Amino acid sequence: MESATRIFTNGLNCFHEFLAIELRNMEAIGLAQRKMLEGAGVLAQRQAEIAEGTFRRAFGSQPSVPTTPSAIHAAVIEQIDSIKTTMMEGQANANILSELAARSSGDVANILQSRMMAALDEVKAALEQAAPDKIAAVAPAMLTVQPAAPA
Amino acid sequence: MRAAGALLLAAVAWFGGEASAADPLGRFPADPGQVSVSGISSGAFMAYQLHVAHSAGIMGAGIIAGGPFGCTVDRVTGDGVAALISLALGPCMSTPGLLKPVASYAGLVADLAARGWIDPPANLARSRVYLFTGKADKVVNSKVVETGVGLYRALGVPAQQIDFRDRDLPGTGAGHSWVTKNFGNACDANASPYINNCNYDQAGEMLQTLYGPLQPPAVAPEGRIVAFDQTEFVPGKAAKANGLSDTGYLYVPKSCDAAAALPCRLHVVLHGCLQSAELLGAEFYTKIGVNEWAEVNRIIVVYPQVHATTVAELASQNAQSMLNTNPQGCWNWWGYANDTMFLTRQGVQIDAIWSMVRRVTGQGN
Repeated sequence: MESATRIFTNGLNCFHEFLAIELRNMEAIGLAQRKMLEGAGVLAQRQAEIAEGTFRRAFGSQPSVPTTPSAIHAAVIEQIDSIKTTMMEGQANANILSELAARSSGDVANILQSRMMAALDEVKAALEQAAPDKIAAVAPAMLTVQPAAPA
Repeated sequence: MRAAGALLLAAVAWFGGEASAADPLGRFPADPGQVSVSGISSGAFMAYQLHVAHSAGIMGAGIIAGGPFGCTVDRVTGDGVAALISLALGPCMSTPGLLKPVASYAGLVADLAARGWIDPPANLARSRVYLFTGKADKVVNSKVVETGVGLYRALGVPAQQIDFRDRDLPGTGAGHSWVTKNFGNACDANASPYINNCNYDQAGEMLQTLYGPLQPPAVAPEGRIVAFDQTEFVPGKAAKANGLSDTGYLYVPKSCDAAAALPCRLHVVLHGCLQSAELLGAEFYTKIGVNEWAEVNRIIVVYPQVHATTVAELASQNAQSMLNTNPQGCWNWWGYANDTMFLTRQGVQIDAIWSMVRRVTGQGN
């Protein structure tokens, strides 16, 4: 009778422990989702800023029409430099967006990994507390690798 | 024979050789009201950060081929700032067209000061500042340095207290470098060791901007180089994990030894990426021309040193470790090593350098 009570109590405690672990898992997933939304929001805002900046520059000052050969030469050089700058700025903007996305994903991955590691430790502790003598008794058998039957 | 050898080593150490790398940084007769900072490239960005973060205790700064405070900051969060490497490599170096308006960086300074993370910027009004950009600089665009000038003006530094050498050296101009009168690569080079010979005494002009007219420099400095332990200035002595070398260097003029009757000035010089002693040995802290001016004008010079932190050396490894390394051995101006407070008084490197200053001036423990 005593043994059955103890087993029932241990089982109930174990259930509560696992429930608490699961609740913490759900909390971490919720936090990861919020981080994803946050990251997406920052990314979207930056994309909008980049688009607005590009739009303004595209419709910025209008160059005057060159008339002399030297002015035409200078205008061509200026145009090439302008194209080069635009390309470099485009690449820089792409790099910024990529890094924002990578950092956001990294934040989410860190949250989920931290929670997974903690959850594994918690499950281990809960199991050890529930039936330490039973686990100790069966552990060697559990850890023994059974050889495959010969073909 | 052994005794003679030991005496010889002691003599070498006294006359300019290196003391033990593990020696603690000592106190010297340095006036805390005469502390200034300078740097080149990432050292310049860090010098700007240090100057703004500790404007109450720093009288001036020399910014050589570097840009404005907060250049890499994307936004302020509750527990620090979010900065981006791509901002460092893009707008803050090669695509200045994407820099924010000066008012935005000034707003960041105001925000951080309101949070108590940096000194009140009103202190900057009494500062003297030297800034330099070379015509041939292909690493940090001159317009980035110009933005730094604009920010100092917006923060209240009067125009007459700013010396901006803007692409005005003769000929092809200077490449990305600390410029000297007689040492280094060709003037327009953009290559290691990033010390160029342009027949221009940058150290002298910079120090005279900060301290006023000075006596002409020594032909050869007669003081001593002291190696000191940097690890004691980093939490948990984790220097390498935070981008700092175990050892820093100090130049002590003969007239500034511990028993000196009069106080000396203190100047901090921050090398650029790929210029630490781990890579260049003594080249940077002995060849840029600062010690020659320091010797005659009673200026103690601190040369803190950076370490090129790898993933394995970080305090912890996670999904963002690759974004937190420092492969080029640069000062922390984009928040590597997970330091979200890197440009504030609580930044690990800024705190370490400031602690060194306080030790030398006798204010710290």
